[in-house]
Amino acid sequence: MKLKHKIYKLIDISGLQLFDPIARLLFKEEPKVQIKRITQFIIIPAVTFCLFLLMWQIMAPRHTTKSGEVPTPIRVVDAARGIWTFHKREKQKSEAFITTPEDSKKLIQSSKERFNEIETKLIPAQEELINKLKDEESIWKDKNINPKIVNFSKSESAIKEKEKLIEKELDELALSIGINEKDKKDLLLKKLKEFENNRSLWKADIAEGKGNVSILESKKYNPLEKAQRIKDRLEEEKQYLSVYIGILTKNRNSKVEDLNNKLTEYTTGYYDAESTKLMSTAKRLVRQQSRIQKTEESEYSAAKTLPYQTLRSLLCVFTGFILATIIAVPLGILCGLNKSFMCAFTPFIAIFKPVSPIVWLPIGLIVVGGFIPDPENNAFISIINSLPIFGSFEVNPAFLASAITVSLCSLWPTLVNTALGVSSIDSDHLNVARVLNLNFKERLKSVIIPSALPLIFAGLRISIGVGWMVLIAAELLASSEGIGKFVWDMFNNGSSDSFAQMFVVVFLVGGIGFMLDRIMIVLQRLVSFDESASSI
Amino acid sequence: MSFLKISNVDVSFGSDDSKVDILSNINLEVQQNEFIAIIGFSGSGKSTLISLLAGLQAPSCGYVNLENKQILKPDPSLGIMFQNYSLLPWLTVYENINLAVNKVFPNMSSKNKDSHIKKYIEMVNLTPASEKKPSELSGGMRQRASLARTLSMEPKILLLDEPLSALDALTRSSIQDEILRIWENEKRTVVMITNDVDEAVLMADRIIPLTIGPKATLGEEFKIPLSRPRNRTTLNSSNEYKKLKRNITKYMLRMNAKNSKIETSDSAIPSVFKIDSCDLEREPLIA
Repeated sequence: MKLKHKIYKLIDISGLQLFDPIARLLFKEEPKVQIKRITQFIIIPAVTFCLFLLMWQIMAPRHTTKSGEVPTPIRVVDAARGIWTFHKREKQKSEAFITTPEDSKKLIQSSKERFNEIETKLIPAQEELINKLKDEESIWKDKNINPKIVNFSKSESAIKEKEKLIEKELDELALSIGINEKDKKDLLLKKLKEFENNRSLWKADIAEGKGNVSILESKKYNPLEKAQRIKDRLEEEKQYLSVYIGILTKNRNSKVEDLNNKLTEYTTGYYDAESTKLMSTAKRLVRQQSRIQKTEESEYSAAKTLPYQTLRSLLCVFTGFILATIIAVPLGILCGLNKSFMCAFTPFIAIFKPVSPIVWLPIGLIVVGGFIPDPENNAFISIINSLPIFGSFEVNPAFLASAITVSLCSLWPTLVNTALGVSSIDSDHLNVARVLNLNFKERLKSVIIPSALPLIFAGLRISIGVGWMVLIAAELLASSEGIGKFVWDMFNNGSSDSFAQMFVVVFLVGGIGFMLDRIMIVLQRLVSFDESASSI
Repeated sequence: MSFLKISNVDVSFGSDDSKVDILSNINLEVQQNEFIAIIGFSGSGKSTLISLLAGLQAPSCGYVNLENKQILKPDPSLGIMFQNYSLLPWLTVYENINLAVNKVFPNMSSKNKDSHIKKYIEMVNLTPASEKKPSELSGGMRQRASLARTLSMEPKILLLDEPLSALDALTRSSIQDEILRIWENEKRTVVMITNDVDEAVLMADRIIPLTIGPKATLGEEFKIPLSRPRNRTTLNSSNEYKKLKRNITKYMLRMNAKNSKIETSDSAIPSVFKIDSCDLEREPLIA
């Protein structure tokens, strides 16, 4: 009995009220009501979303652009899978670079097996299938497309012939008209007008027909397309495997081993050397030692994958968000406490709040660039990069400028809400502070901040939403390694998959934004004292 | 020499043309451990009077002395209990009291503090709810918590500002009994503001009516010579009790009738408006 209520409360607090009816249904609490709620809050949205996907799937192929067809949901899922495979492979490569010799032997063995399988079995099989499908395609084209094209060209030539015929008729008519036959002349004019009108209509028909034909010609035989994609993917894997095996056979440990072998040779050489050769052998030995050390420290430089970029974007948005919070909350409290302060700040809030991130970013880049002229040898950057999380994401000026842009755009909601929260504190609570003779610090800590906290968090929630939205644009412009940069790269490289990958980003950005919002709602509920749910 | 002395106090807000006099020529002396009830109609300036005693409001002229020392600012020794509980909603009952105790007895050991807090929670019968937040409590329980907080500061004087007016009749009578019981156990000077004649007669040693504002002043006092401890059920049949109640009610009604005559002739500003405007002009609470 108690467990039941704990589960309900947990659902409520974690912001997953969506699952509340399911939990209640499982405990057999008013099943009819729960089923109604499930239909309303789960089934209807799910059905609508499915309908949306279905419409997308149907509509997408009908619209072709310069950069190819609009991807269908299936292609988008495919692209997402492709992104993930790429990420996994890059990770495997960097792992391969540092595996021990025994492990790499095993890995080489298994990779070679797979490589051979692909080369000798899978690809030939797929090629055979493709050849078969090509035959099918020509049959399919003959049946479904070619007749239409032939039809069109037939009607086109028919129209052209008709045109010629009428023109000829009109010429003859003109020749037959005498100089004073006004009626006939008028008739000729009328006929000519009619003909011109018709001709423009026929022209439009032909143009439309040509458009249809080009769409028909670009139509692809789906099974063949699919088979080709599978083959492409196999080729990709084959290529990857050869690189992978290459890294495994010549990875860091094997390099170090080779160098060490040489080192022992050099060492003996040095001790056996005569005084005339002593210096040169010594140099050789010392150089070898430093080379070994460098090799031991070297790492595989993996390509930046979308998962990495996503994490870096998250880090960037949190950096900006925390910066904004650190500025906005104290400032907001001061504004809420003191009318003069509020009046002093109102013009700044009013003017800077509507400024677009597109303006802040270049300013941020210039300012950061001014402070950090040489990012490679900058103390501040190297301090940040020596921090635990930041270190693995290679913070650079572009990152800092993006973070600053995020904070400049996202601090306003928090600032305004904090000021509102502080200035609208219940006078009863302030009376308590007066009666207890609390000094400023105590009043701030025990009355003002707790009382304003729900509104502060409401502001923070808006802020992080704004920040996340702004960040993608900022990264795109600053080409700071993140989701925004990924989109920009995809836009510029224009491969057949890049359009679909941009759609993956749409859902990724949307999903993360949604999650950030949920987290903030949960936090907001935890600090708000009006609801009993906050006291679990 | 009296424990609490209000002498020639005026309170007014605004200046010159817009000047509104709330209280005028207030004189009162309270002996130690006396229970005083100040009774008046709503809007007559009762809350201003208690704010004056609590140091939340400075008099325009005259002075308020406690043990011969002038009250200039709020102090934990002036234990005021507000009409609307004024508990901090993000703290539990225990934490609310702890906040007060920490401030008033900063040098108390944490063990003593704990037992001190628990003693007062027990005194108002809230032990089972001590870990609950105000939003989870009923109105009566909140008022008890507020009472416990005020008592825990061990004030020299207890100022009750219509403490029970927001409660339903049944809860009200039970808390009246509670306050009486506590007061009889540990004697303390109490000034209670109320608009309920029954409540005043049941609880107080002396009842002082406040005339209707503006320029409200204290009227003729009524001594309540009923023996203590008083019992609600036996009192209800006592003739003396009935007579006192009748006299006070008659006095209050007569005052009201007189005032409404004045009010109709005095068309300048209705008294209700004046009270509102003086509430607004109270000195700002945040510095």
